[in-house]
Amino acid sequence: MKPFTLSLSRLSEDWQATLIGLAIAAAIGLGLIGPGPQTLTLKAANGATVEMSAPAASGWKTSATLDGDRVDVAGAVSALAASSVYTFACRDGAVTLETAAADDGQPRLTLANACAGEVVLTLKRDSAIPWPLFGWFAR
Amino acid sequence: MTITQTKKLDSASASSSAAQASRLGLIAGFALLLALTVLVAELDRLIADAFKAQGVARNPLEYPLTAVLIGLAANGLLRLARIYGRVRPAFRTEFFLKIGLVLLGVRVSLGDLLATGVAGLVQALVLVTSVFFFTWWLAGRLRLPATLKAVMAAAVSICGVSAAIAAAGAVMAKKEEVTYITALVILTAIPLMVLMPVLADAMGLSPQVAGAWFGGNIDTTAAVVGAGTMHSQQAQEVAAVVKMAQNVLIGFVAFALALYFAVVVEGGKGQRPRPAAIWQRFPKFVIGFVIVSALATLGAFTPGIAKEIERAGQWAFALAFVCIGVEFAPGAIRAMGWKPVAVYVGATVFNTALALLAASVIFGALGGG
Repeated sequence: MKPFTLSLSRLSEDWQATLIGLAIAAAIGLGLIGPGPQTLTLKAANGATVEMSAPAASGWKTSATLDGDRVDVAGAVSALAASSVYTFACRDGAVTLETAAADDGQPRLTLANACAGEVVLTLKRDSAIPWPLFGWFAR
Repeated sequence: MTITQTKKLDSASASSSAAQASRLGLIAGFALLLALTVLVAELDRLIADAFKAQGVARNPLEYPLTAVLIGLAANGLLRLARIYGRVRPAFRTEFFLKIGLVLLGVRVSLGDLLATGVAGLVQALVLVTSVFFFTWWLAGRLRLPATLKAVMAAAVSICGVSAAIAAAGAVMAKKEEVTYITALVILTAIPLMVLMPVLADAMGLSPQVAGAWFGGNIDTTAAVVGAGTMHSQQAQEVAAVVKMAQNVLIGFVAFALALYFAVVVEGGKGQRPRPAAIWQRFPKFVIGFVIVSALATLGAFTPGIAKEIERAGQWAFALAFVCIGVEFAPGAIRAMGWKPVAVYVGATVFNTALALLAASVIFGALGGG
């Protein structure tokens, strides 16, 4: 039996363009080009403290909910640096961030919940590496 | 070694060097194209900054026009240097445009696609039928050859170069006729791309109606996207979708033309087309556009990622706009005389007026004003 092979050059221009377009969308969408979209979520019940490591990068947007209701995060930063610990503390229905230095390593996120309810902290970073090349046409 | 064997070896070696030269030409051409596009981007920024310094917030010389002009300049220089033929394979307007259109799907939700696409299809049916038969009639009055008549009618009524190629295949037109129509398509598309957004603004058309007008009138899809870009983001989206609705009719028209030539022109002696030819001519990039649009609608891309996909598409469009200028072949027009030019211009004027009416009625009724 003849093995199935797919050669891009044998396809019509229409199919070539379609596949290349889809490949570009997939590569950017899946983060194969640049780190892609990232979401970090920390969930802590009343009285609990949870932690996790995060990639050192900029462009983070932080949001939090207390029992499903959105609450402000005071002092939120958009850049997470290496050798740093970011402590998000929930007290009296509000979340505040304190940053401290640590030993070498990835940034550490800590969520300490002293509020009466479950706190969900989300950090989102939806932009891949900023591409100056693409930005040339951005007005 | 016999003489025959030596000849065979020589011939194999010659075809291998020709293939290598063609590959090198393709690579060099693509590198040149990229460099020209980077130049366009840089010029676009400088021009925008210059206008801003004069208190003009929006750059009136949008990048599609800069790209076409840079392409035309490169075209002239490459021909003067006699290297145009070598790098020519890299200049593929339609190819880059189709990649850009697939990526444009990220900006158009399925709901909008359905609304604009259905209205675009209605408009396309009205325009393609009317403009095709008008061009056919006018070309008949000036006694143009049947094959040129068919290629020209398809090009003016559907989507320029792609339709001309599809129709030429269906009616066995001469290669020179396709080259000629391609040159005419570009020659009329460039001024229309620049003038129509200005006229749309002067007439106070909404972005929807303006986009539908560009999509229904300008022959080549690249210039349609260019005109939309120069007008507004919404006009670009509508223009692209309307043009794609028109593009999907290529297969049907090519099939009908092939059948007409086999039965009527060749008196039943010609080969009748198979219905599969309709699918063969179907613009497959529309499928890619719908897939990306569906993914975007389902929330597969975050706003930042969607923006980056959109910018990648913008690069593909910029490459296509530069190619429009580089691919223009003015020599082909001189060879054919004034009659086909008169038919083409007459058909374009008819198309412009009818497309404005159709866009105002159909897209105005959708709430586009």
